[in-house]
Amino acid sequence: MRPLVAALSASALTALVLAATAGAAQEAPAGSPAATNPIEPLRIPNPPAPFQGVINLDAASSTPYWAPQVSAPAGAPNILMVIIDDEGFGAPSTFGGVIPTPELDRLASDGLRYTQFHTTSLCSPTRAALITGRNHHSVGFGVIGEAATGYPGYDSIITNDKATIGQILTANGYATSWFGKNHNTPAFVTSEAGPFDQWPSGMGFEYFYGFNSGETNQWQPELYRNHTRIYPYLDNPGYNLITDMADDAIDHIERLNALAPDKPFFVYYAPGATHAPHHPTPEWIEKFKGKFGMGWNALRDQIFANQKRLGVVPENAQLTPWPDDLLKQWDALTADEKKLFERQMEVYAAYLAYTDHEVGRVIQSIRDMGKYDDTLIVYISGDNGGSAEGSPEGTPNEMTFFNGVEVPVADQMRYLDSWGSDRTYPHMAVGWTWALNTPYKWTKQVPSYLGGIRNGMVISWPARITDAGIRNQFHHVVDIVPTLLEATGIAAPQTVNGIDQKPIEGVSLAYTFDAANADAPSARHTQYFEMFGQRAIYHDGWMASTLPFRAPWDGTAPEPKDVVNDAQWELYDLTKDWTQNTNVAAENPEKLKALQDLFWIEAAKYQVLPLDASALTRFIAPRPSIVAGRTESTYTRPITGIPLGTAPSTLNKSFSIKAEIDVPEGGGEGMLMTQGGRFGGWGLYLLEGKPVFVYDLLDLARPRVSAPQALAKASTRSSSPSPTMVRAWARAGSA
Amino acid sequence: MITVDGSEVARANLPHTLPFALEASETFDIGSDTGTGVDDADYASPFPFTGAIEKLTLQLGTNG
Repeated sequence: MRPLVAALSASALTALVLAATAGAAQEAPAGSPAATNPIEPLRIPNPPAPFQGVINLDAASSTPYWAPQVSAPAGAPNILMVIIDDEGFGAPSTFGGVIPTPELDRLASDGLRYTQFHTTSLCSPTRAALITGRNHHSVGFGVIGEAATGYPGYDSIITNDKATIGQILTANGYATSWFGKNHNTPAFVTSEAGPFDQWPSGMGFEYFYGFNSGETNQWQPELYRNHTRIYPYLDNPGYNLITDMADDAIDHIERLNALAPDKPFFVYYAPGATHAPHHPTPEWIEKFKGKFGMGWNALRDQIFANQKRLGVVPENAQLTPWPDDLLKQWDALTADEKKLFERQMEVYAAYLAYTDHEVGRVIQSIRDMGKYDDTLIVYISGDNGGSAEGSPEGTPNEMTFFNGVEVPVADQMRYLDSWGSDRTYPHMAVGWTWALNTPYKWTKQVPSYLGGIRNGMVISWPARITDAGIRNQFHHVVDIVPTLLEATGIAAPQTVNGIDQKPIEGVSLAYTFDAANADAPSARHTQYFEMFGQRAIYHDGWMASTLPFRAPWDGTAPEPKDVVNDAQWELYDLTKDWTQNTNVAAENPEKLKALQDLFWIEAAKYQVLPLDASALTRFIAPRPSIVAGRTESTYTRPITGIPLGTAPSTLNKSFSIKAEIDVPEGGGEGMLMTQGGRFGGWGLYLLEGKPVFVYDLLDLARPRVSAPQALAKASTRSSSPSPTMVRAWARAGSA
Repeated sequence: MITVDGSEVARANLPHTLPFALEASETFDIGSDTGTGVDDADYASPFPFTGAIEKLTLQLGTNG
């Protein structure tokens, strides 16, 4: 290129000069400060490059040599990977829903809509598979991290022989970042004491702005910038994380573009929406007022008709029947129930539409910097099926589900106007969830029916995908990492930091990018599914599925006596029966047997064993942490923001707090010790000088005990001042 | 039950404690309360303690 630059006269076209100069920069002489080179991707990081200059006794007679800076392979696209939380297949307008998602629609009009894309039926398992290209049990996420147990498939530990896409792309010259939900850091290492090897930074992401838990309050979020807890909502009325994280992502991408415009970025964007709590802004809620008077049964019919019109389900697909044994028909509801449930759905719809809008702002910033055509955008609408964790009647406080409590409709009515605000932590009724999973059966948590595991996905990349369309190949979330690697031209590493890597288990779906392959057979032939002992296996169009052991909204239901043998199996031929509407197990016993055997083979291969059907009780199983094995913890200074997974657990047990304090003049005021908050928790504090202990039972009741008199300053009580000792005992069912 | 310098000053019935989970956004805090408060009628977060902490001890009992 250099001769070309030299030959250009002053009258040459400016654009040509710029292009040639950029090209010349790429080809800076070896050893020069501007030299760049892709790494050899099979071994990351690469060993130090040999010095190729000349070293004599003094610098004047020596020749310097700079090892080339790492650059991504030529033509490697930017990547934006978006995953929405707890969104059913039929929720967004792009896949037949009535909730407008114009940003996803717009991407689909430029790219590909995938109609048979699958997830794992739970949050952190899907995300672990998404960032590693391995099955969720293979990377320790058989279930969510908060329910981890001490088996390789369930310990919430992504071992260092399975590097994430963050580690791979960072090593290969990408600028990598992660916004929003994490949920792949073991809950027991989320304190400031670390270790940080499985925080986003340790998993290869250079920048993190988000939360480590499975969900967060959007008005007052648990929020970190890298390793540091931050509180941007303080003194910031109207703050909402859905908007804030879009702002932060846009700022980050624009800064990268200003600093290093040629360096490709990888942005992993994972909003807390639409997981509970449903916290959209009032302006968005207002837009949906009165939109759901048709009720959940009619909504289902409407979505199904839309899906056929859009071609995201085939013409011969059947709408699965309403589960009359589990859920009421809309017409059977009382007036109060209808009023409450409509409001719940308006808030949910607002939350999804608001989120799509904010994702759209991030995409627009990429358009505005002229990089949209060269950006591969993967937008997955749901990390599992729609969530049934709101109970059949919904809840103003999702923590009721997590503690096995249901809130009667009459008690919910007082939250009608505040639903979605910071006074609530809400989730809608299951009837809506079932409708948003149209045309499929079941919901989040259920790995064996498509309502739990089939999610819409759109991929756009204008430079490469030139014909918009629909793709019906059967794929799974483990297939995203190999797709990204194929798109970037980066081979999966064989060793990372000297550790031999286990193979990636997904298969690339990049072959579907070509219009000529629109109807190509699926590259994925087999996929197992397992969650809470419930299971399924897909193989070349067939799917064998166990019936759920319990309704997903009942986390305390009795467990099956024998998780292995108590399962009841069904069989579906998905090539003729798109929706699992007709069980053909009786007609095909040999097929079913073969698939059941295949399940055990896959289960053994991917660390799925031992099966465990327990649900909420697993949350309080002892696990490692900085307080493991400790029954007494002492603190001699104020310290805040200790994540509950790393704090002494006061759940399901009695405890006492001893406070040795110096009381100021007038008796003092303020918090001594607290866990939780408005939606469940306890605190020991001084109020107008009086010790108060409050146990907030899910915002439903607040038993309290309060001293009748203010504490006196110690020096006024005795000649030798000693700390005042306040002690509170919390013992369930007693005084 | 609350005691001050070893003497009981208040006692009330606590029907049960929460069995499985507290809100994930919420934390364990000493000396002030981040996130939301446990009783909005009493205070607004962060509600820092105006005295000085010598030592706070949390002692866990048995399950159930």
